[in-house]
Amino acid sequence: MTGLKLTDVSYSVDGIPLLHGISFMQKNEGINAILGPNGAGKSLLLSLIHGVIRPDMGLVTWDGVIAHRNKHTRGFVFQTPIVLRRSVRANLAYPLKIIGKSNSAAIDDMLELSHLSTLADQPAASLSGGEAQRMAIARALITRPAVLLLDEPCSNLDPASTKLIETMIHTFVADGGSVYISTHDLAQAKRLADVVLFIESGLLLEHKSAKSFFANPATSEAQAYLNGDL
Amino acid sequence: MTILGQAAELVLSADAELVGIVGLSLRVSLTATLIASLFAVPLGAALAIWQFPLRQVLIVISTSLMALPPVVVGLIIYLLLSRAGPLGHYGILFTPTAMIIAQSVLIFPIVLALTREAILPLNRDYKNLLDAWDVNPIQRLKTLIWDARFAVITGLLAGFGRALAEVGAVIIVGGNIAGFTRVMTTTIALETSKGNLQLALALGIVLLSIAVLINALIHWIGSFGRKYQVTR
Repeated sequence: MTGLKLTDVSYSVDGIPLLHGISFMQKNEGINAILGPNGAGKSLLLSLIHGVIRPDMGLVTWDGVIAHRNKHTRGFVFQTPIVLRRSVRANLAYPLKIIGKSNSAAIDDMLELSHLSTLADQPAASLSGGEAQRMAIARALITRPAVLLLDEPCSNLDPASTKLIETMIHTFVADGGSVYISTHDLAQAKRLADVVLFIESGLLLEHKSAKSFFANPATSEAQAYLNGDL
Repeated sequence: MTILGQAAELVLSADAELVGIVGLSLRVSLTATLIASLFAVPLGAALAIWQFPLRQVLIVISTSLMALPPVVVGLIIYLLLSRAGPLGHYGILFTPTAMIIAQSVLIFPIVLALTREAILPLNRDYKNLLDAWDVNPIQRLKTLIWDARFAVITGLLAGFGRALAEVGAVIIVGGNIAGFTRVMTTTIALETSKGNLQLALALGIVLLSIAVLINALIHWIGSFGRKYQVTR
């Protein structure tokens, strides 16, 4: 199967297990939401999936290749956007430069998609939180990755910024991309997700279609989470 | 006319001797700054970015070297370049080249430390992003140096200022030969001892003006660079 495969993945820090024996397979399609309460391990799972960190045990592969070996085929966006000390345009140009390309048309397209055309030549540090996050997503998309990984991209953003970011996500998926997004925002997960991965205390408790998850959560933890009790 | 007036006249009339001395000072110190930064900037960046064996030892040594007494550096280079020394066959003692070497050695630890200080916080900010993009070590080094460029240039200017104001090492390895290795600081020392205060004061005015200019540049570059720093 092409796509993402985790086989018995565990990860611990200073002897404290944070993720335990996570296994699942997921095709490269649609929007996959990683849900769970604070400290469940959502961001950690996303980092493992991308290959930024490697599991203590188990295997993470994309299309049969170990995750850390093909990171360039994916885009990753952090919860707090990391802004290079350059102009917005230069921020977008950077990933292209890393892979030895230059494509001013792609930069202009991404500026338009992220509604940042008028700010292209401003220092990126001058952007608001929402603008910086849109720039970070545009920067992740500029190399045309197959998969986009988003770590709570809309936390602390206003509804208008959230809407613009969700539009960017939908556009990417409509063009054939696949998304993994960790989020606390259940309304956003309902709006966006095709598939839900629910984790609690480092365990993957549910992996199913979003429709099924929200209508009939199988575990008591998921039920408690959806009821706001977890 | 007062001594100050005579000194000002020397400066304003672009006295040939004075211009020659200032020109040599700038040439020696600029070249030394360039040579030192060629090694110190990448090494300072590497010390900021990567953990490797002996890193802490290198940091302690480079920091200690900042306090090197110039006359000791001058003496060591003198011994290396003197006829009996291991590099004596090059015949560069008492030449501007020897002065450049001495100043390069003196400012290397300064530029290295300032570069490391500039890149440490930037590396903390960028690390996750560059890891996520799988940026290779050379690209990482170039990226961090470029994005810390305003602070790095400030460090270079500080090094240049230090080199220009240095007297102990260059007088030992340069010999203070008129028209050949006489730079601003060594001339000031010599002419003052001879009682020729006009030329000494004229050079002092030029040296001070350059110091003010360097500080103004540091200030301007710093304020320009802050525009690119995230303050959220």
